[in-house]
Amino acid sequence: MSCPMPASGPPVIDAPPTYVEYRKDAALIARLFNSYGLAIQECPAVEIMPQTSAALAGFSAVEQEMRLLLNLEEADEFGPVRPADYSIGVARKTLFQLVRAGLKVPPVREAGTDHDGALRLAWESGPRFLELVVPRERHVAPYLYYSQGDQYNLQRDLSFGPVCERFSWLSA
Amino acid sequence: MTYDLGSPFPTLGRAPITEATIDIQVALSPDVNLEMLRAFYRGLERRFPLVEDRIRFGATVEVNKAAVPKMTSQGPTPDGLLMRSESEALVVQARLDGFSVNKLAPYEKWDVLRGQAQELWQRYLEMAHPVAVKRLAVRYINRIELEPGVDFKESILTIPEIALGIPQGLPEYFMRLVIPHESGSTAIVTEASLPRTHEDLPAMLFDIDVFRFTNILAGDFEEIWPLLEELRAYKNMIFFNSITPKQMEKYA
Repeated sequence: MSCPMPASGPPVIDAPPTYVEYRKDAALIARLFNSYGLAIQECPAVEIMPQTSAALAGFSAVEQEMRLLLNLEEADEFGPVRPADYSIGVARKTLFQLVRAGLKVPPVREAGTDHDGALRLAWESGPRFLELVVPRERHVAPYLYYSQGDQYNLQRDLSFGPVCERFSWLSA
Repeated sequence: MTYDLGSPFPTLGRAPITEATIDIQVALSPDVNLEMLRAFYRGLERRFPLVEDRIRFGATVEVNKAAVPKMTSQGPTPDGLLMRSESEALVVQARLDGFSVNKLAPYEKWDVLRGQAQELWQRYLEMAHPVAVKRLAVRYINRIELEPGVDFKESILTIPEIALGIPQGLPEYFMRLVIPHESGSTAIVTEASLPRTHEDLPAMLFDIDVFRFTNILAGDFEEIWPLLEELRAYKNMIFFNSITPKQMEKYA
C-alpha cells in the first residue's frame, strides 16, 4: 500500500495537547473498550478464533525452527550446515501461503540441511512423509518430496493450491 | 512511499498514542503462586503507590429451547498484581501467566518504554522464575482525529470500504483485521468510532496489537528483546503505511 504524495506547504503544528487532554482521551477510550467487554490495561491480549490461533502458532513454531538453523555454524567437514537466507525465504513464503488462508502448518519432525546445504523441513503423519526441500542455489527449483510405504513422488508446483492439497494429504 | 520492516521509521513529536503495551506471556512452574508473586511489589511502593489484585473471571451461558438458560461461571480468582504510577502514567502487571507494562499518554518513545519493561521484567524473572516465554506482544492504541464530512482516506488508508451506491456516512463502525506476516508476527488491527461530542472532532480508535507465539526456554530469554523489536517494526509498518502524509503532518 502506498501513501499519496505529501501536500505542499509547511506543516502546521499546534501546541502539544496537555496532560489533562491526554488523560481525557485515555478515559474516553477505556470507556469505549469497556462497552465492548474489553479493558485495555487489564486485558493485554485480544482474543482470536481458536482455528486462526492454531494456524498462527503452527507457523510461528516452524519459523522459529528455521531461525535456529540460521544460528548454526556455516559449514563443517561434510559441507554447509547453515541454510542460505534465500532457502529460508522460499520456505517461509511457501508455508506462509497456508497461514494467510487460516490453515495450520503442522509441527515439523525435523528441520536441517543436507550435505549440499539444501534446507529440508520434514513432516510425518502415520505412514505418510512429506519434506520441503529448498536448495541453496537459486537456479535449482525447490520441491516437495512425499512418500507412503514404497510409493514416493516429487511435487514441484509450490503455489497455494497444490501445497494446500499436499498438507491435506499428509493429515488425511 | 511504502514502509517495510527494515525501513527507518520517522520519530513523531506528537504521536497520537494513548496507550502502548509490551506483554510477555509465560509458563510458570506449578509451584509458583500468587503469594510468591507479591514479592514483585516489595520495594516498588513509592514508585507504584496504587496496587490491586488482578481478578480473572469467566462465564458461559447455555441456551436450550427445552430448558431454562444455564450459566456456569469461573472465578472471580486473583491471578496477579496490577500496579499503577500516576506520575509516570505507567501500569505494570505481574501475573501467573505473564508480565506486561502499559504506558499511558503522554507517550515518550520506544527506547524509554523498552527500558522500563527490561528493568521490571528482570524483577519478574527473579520473583517468578518462568520456565518459558510463550507469547510476545507489542500493542499501540492510537486516537486518530478526522475531519468532519471528509473521506477517511484523506487521513487513514486502512479503513472499512463501502460499495458505491450505498450511503457513505458512518456514525458508528467497528472493524477488526488479523494480518499475519511471513516473519512469524501477526497484527490484530482494530478500528472503531469513538463517541462524539459537539466540541470535539470525530475520532477513530486505531489499535495495532502485534504478537507472535514463541517457545523460548529459560536461559534464552535475551532472545525476547530482538523479537520485540521486530514486533514494533511490524506495528510501525502498519501505522506509517496507513496514515496519510497530510495526517502525518499533525503528528510531526
